[in-house]
This record gives sequence, structure tokens and C-alpha cells, in this order.
Amino acid sequence: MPGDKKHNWYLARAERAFQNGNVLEKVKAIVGPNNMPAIEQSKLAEEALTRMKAGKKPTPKQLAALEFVIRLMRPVPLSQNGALANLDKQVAPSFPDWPTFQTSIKPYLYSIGRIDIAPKEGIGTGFLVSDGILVTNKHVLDILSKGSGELEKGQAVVRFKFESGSTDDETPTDITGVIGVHDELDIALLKVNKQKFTKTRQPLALDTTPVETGLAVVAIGYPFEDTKRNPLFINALFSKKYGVKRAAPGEVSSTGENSIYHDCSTLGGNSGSPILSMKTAQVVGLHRDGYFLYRNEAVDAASLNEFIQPHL
Amino acid sequence: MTEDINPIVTFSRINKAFNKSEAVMSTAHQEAEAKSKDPVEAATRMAALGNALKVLEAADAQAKSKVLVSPDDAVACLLQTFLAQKAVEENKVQPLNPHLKEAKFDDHDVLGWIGSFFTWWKKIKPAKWQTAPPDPETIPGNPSDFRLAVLGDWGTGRYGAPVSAKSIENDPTGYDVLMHLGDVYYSGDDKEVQKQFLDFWPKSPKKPNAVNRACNSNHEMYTGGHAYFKKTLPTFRQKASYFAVQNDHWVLCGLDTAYADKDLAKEQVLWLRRIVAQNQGVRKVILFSHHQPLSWIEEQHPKVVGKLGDIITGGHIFAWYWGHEHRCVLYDQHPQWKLHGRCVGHGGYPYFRKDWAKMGGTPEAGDKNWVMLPAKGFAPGGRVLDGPNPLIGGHDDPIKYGPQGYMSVQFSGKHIFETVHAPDGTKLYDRQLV
Repeated sequence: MPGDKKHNWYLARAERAFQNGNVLEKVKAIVGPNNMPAIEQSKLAEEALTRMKAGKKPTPKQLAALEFVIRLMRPVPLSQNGALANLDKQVAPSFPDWPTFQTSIKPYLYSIGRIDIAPKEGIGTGFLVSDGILVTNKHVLDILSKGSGELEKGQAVVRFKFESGSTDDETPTDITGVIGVHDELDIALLKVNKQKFTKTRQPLALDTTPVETGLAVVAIGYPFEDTKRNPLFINALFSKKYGVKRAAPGEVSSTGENSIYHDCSTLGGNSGSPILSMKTAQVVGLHRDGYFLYRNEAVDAASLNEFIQPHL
Repeated sequence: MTEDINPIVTFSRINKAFNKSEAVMSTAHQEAEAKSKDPVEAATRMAALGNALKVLEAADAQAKSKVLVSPDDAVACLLQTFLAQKAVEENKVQPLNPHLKEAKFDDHDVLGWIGSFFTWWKKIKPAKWQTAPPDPETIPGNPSDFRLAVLGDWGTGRYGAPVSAKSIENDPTGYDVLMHLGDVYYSGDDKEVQKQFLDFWPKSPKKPNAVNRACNSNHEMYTGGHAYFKKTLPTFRQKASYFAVQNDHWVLCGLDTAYADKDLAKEQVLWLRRIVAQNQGVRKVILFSHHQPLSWIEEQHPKVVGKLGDIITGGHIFAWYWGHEHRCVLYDQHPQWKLHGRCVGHGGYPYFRKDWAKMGGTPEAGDKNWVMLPAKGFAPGGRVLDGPNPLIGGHDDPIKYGPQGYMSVQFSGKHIFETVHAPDGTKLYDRQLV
């Protein structure tokens, strides 16, 4: 039904991305005004999206164009040596706060880790909110604990580095127990060994103020190959490098009860990722699940904070 | 009779079922993959399902799950039809208010049903096209005079729809032609067409030989148009989804703008061109369709108007009645095309009132039912029916919803008198058009 605020926002975003020329201009600006195939890509991408939303298979050409546009607009830069890579110059204008974020996130990057079933089977992502509390999803705990909901030392570890292109020489941190679980919101607080925080390594802070639709956000985590729920585009987006720390920029697409919805490119291993405001590098949500070309869901920071506070 | 019609399927219920537990969408994705031939098809079905949920959410923003909502999205409507049927089959229906029942289901139900949804959806293919006779059929009775009743977007079986039907049936003079401009919600499957359309369609007891005609529409085509082609057309003794009926002075031509979405499929243009040519200087031509050739609010459909070309631009069409937009608008005569455009889409769908003042609308002096609007783009100025909808009372605040009803047209020789009626038959507007 045309006319409501949310519908208009979806329309505006779709137009921004595919219709009203902004993408075309960006693409054109990148490849040069004489490079007409770039314009064709965006038009074809729009056609692909329209067809898929209507349940009609796009043509191979349309699909390739959509892959191009998604890779362009929703990239997943790697973290290397404690710093996030620059955005490609083609997408950088869409995220003007990225350079600031690259600096402001640095003290927190090594407080976000890959959660493994010991010794080294990657399952999801977790982040520290204090020197002994790791936040992740309840469904990650379920996998780690094989459904029992309980953990003891030796079952699971968290690796706070594990970056592409560098050796992870840090001893993994033991996960030693379960502090609390929120079944409905899919939150688990895991107990980890005390961490050494310094000026250059800090626990993540939560920003509990309500987020606005359109807020630029970043999901940081360890995406794993997930061809079942994401049958297309993943190799183009992730270059077959999975299970290493990545940061996915995107936008808050809407909000709901205890939830925010975003469009960062995420995969299965992103369960438990912090969703960070690109402006402040503070946590605005806890990523919990996502559905191909639909939306990603996260617990909002206010609900997360309410659950965490008694345990701090 | 309302006891038999499907319950409504609210976004609130869908949202709880699909988004409460990750298992539902995960299972949906597994089912999409299992039921698809290749990854692209699986991805397409997943994208379409996700989009349907978004569209339903946006469409429900104002209604807040208190009335029937049926967006223009095939997968969203198919999902609603499917969930309504499953809920009925498994006796999961409960009152939403004293007048309306809703399908009551949860995430556990959907987990069990979602595989069947993909199987059903995948099987849907368009119904076989049917070819109309080349020449118009003659309207029985007086060759000079007849009366026409027009209903659009009427197939809800609720709100103003059954009330308008009764008024048409009880009209003391009766009607010679009864016309539906399309839309049976959610997706016009067999049961919906039977229970929300054919069972309620007005009889014409005073004119037993009355001609009934129905335009095809996007909502009927969401299920491939099978119920429309195989139930509605035979019931109406209508040979195809495009049609023509005539008397000595007028020829009424219905177009199918839905078999190919917002387009004119197959031979329709050539068929119409022949009829227009044959009637040049003999009869005036009036068109009927589901989709609009012009509008203040919705997009114009360039394929339809473009294919008709000089039939439209040459001033060969006297008037055009359409639905789809869920409101009643009487446009002034088009300055170039010379046609009189009428949107009669206020038959049964609960639609929201617009802030017409923002579009330059001003209440008609002395008649609070109408707002006068200036020309916009291709659309000339005109009047739109406005005001509360008392038939929404008991469901939601009537002030939020626009009025429903129908139109009647009296053809007397070369003259036309048109009337806009409230559902109870009250005249809201009438005038001699020519």
C-alpha cells in the first residue's frame, strides 16, 4: 500500500540503489563516461532483482549484473593485522564514514573473535563486553554444547585474531562456561578467561539509543561458506576466503520489536557478530540470522544491554 | 453466506509465524532448494518469498491487520491464499472481530505447511488463452436503450461488496449488462472465485437475459487465471477474457490487461482495431479493463496505451472504465484523446483515504462527497469520491477508509446518463455525459 513511511523508505532505498541514477552515476563515475557496459550492468541488475522478487528466474546476463552490483554496493573487506581494508573507490562514496570507522574500530577489532569447537572447527562469532564476558547467539552455544546449553573448559575456544594473510600466533582463549542465555532473543553470554585490555584493545561498548532506518552499520565477524542459505553470489563477494575476520558495511533497513534489520553481506559464521554504528564504532545490535535477498536480523542494543547488565 | 468465505490472513499472524523462529525461514529455504531444479531457481524463490514478506509488511502499515489487505504482489497473495486454505482445512480459524474471521496459525503450523506451499506455487502456470468472437454480441432487449451496472475490485465478499450487490439486484428497473472490472482476493483461486465472487455476484431478476461480463485482473492471474477462465467465463457465458457487446448506438469492449501483466496479450489490439473501424460513424466505443490508461496516483501503463496507439490518440474511444486503483474517480474529458476516464475500483476492497489537499484537491462546493483535483501529467482534472466508509465500522475506524459502491450507466439512444451509487444504492452523483 503506497503512502506509509516504511514503504516509502524501501522505495527510496531501491531507487537509490537501482533506479534513480545514483548507482548509475557512481558506476559511470568509476568506469568512465565512455564505458557503457557499466550502465548496462546496473539496468540489468535492476531487471534481475525485479524478476527474482516476482518469483521469475533472471537471465544469466541479468544475474551476472546483479552480482556485479551487489559486490559493488555491499562488499566485505578483510581485516588484516588489526586494521580493516579500505573500501573500493567505487563504493567508498556510499559510506563516507568508513575512513573514520577504520580508525575508531581499531581498539575493538581484537575483542571480536571466531568461536570454535576445540580445537579448530569454526562455528560463529563472539565479542567481549567486559574482561570475562563474550556475547554470541544462543544457537551458537547450542552447536558448541551439542544442545545441552552447558560448556566447560576444553569444549570451545575463541580466537580474537584469525585474519586473512597472517599467521594466528595467539593462543586461543578458552570458553569456560555459560553465564546466561536468552532463549527468545537468541543471546548467549559465555564465560572466558580474563582478558588484558589496554588503550589499544578495549571491550566493545553498547549504544542503546534507538537507531534510525538508514543508519550506516558494519557487521564484523567470521563468515563461513553457506551455499544452502545463500545459493548465489558468495564466491564473488568472499573470493573463496571464508572463516577469517571481515567487516561488512550496510544500512539499517528497518526496526522491529527488540530487533533491527540490516543489509550487510553476512553468512552463517556471522552469527554472534556485533552490528556497529559506522559513526561511533559502538554496538547497536547482535546479529542473529539472515535470509537471502530479504533481510538480516539483529537483537537491538537496548534489549541486549538489558540482558547483559545484571551479569556485569 | 459470509460463513463460507475464506478467513482473512493478516500480516501480524504471518510475521509472528515466519519471524518468531529462525527455523521457519530456514525450513523455507531448504524447501525452496529441495523443490528447485537449480540454485538460481532456489535463490529466486527465496528472494520472492522474502520480498513478499516485505511487501505485506508495508501494505499492512496502515491497516494494522484489522481489515483485509492484499498487495499487488503475486507471491504475497499466493501465500495468503495458501495460508487461508490450510487454516480452513485444519480448522484453525478464529474471530478477528464480530464481523470477520482470521486464519489462526503459528510457526509450528507453517513449518509443516511450507513445503506444500512451494510445491503448489511451482505448479502454477497461466491458463489457456481463449479467443473471442470477431464480432460483438448484441445486448438483448430494446436495441436503443439499456442499463449497465459496473463494479470494480469487488471480489472480497465483504464490506461494501455484498451490500452493492443487493442494491443492484433490488434495483426497481434492473440492469441489462452487469460488468466486473476484475480482482478477486487474494489470488482468485477456485474457492475464492466461487465464494467471494460468483456466490455474491448480483442477479438481475428484472432482466433475466442480462449479460454478465468480467475483466481479467492481476489478482486472478496470480493463480494463473484458471478459476477466472474455467469458472467465471463459463458462468457468465463469456467466450474469452476480452469481449464486445453492442446495441444500435454503442459498443462496449472489454480488454484483458492482466494475462500479460499491464499489457495487451495476443490478438486483442487487432481485434479491437477492427471493431473500432467497423463502427466508425455508427457506434461509439467504450472500453473496460482492470488496469488504468491514466491516473493521478498510480503509474500509467505505457504498454497498454502504446499498443492502442491511434485508437486512443485519434479520439476513437468515448469512455474507458477501469478498476485496480481501489477508488472512484471521474476524470474530465481528456483534452487530446477526447475520452472520459472513470476509475470504478471502490467495489469491495478496504482502501485508505488520501490527503487530497496535498495534491491540490479542494472539496466540491455544496457536495461533501467529492474532491475536485487538477490535471496531472497525462491525467486530466476531475473528481474523486471521498469520505468515511461506514461499512468498515466494527473492523476499524471508518474515517480512515474511503467510501465504496458502484456505478450505473443508462444508455438512451445516443445519450448516456451516469450515476455513482453508495453501496445501499443512494445516488452520490449523476449527470448526462452526452
